[in-house]
Amino acid sequence: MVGPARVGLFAAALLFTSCISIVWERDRWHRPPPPSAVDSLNKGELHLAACLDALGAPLHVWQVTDGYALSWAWYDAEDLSYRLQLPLTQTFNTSLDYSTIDRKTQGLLLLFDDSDRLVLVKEGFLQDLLAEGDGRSPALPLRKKSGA
Amino acid sequence: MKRAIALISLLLVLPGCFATRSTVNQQLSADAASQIGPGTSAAEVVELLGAPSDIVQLGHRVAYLYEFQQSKMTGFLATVVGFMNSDTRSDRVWIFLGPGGTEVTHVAASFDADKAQNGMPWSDLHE
Repeated sequence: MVGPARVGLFAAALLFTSCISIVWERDRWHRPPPPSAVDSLNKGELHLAACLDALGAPLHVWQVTDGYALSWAWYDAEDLSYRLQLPLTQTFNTSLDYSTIDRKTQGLLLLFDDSDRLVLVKEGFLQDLLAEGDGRSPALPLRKKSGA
Repeated sequence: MKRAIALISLLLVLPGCFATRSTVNQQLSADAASQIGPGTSAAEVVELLGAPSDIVQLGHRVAYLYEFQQSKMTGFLATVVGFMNSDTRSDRVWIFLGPGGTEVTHVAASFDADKAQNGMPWSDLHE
């Protein structure tokens, strides 16, 4: 025979499972270009063809003032989330969500002038790079790629 | 009674598992892409690869994008604990056309969609 205590414990365990959940999630979206290929971009004057040979097809291409921009982007994000729900009334629940990692997309930005010459290489968070390389920029930055 | 509780417990703990595959656009032909190079006409590009996924105006030039994306998602959901993994890769071909958009000047192709894998969060998927 199973005692009332055990049945109660079992019921409590069942209730507990509906209140809490722990999920470990990982999201991989594309991969970064090989570091050696990115390093090679800082060696001498490069044109579009050499950059495409080294890095492969970009994810985005768009026009900027006096030239155009190419970008590669990727992320590998892990997220561990806990959810605790407490049923307070029939119609109201309170829950707490915690995320351990903020997902941010990383990217590589190349800017070219109208003669297909590489003028800037920059790595960082994609949203920062896009703000720098988008069509609203007044002009391509004057910094040479070694100063990126 | 004990057996019933054990069975119910087992059923509750048994995980919900899934493995999915989703794609965007049609798969690209590496053979067709390899036939495109500087000097190829825009008409030949369209004949080989079909209509592009996107067309970008670059001043007096034009770039065509052909893209196929594949995502694989895996999940293992037990009563309280869950593990989920998603991996997305793509095949991309960018065709850069010269002034007037009539002739190819540059081609860039990457074929990685087949490298998307099912796995778990701790899996070291092949890069």
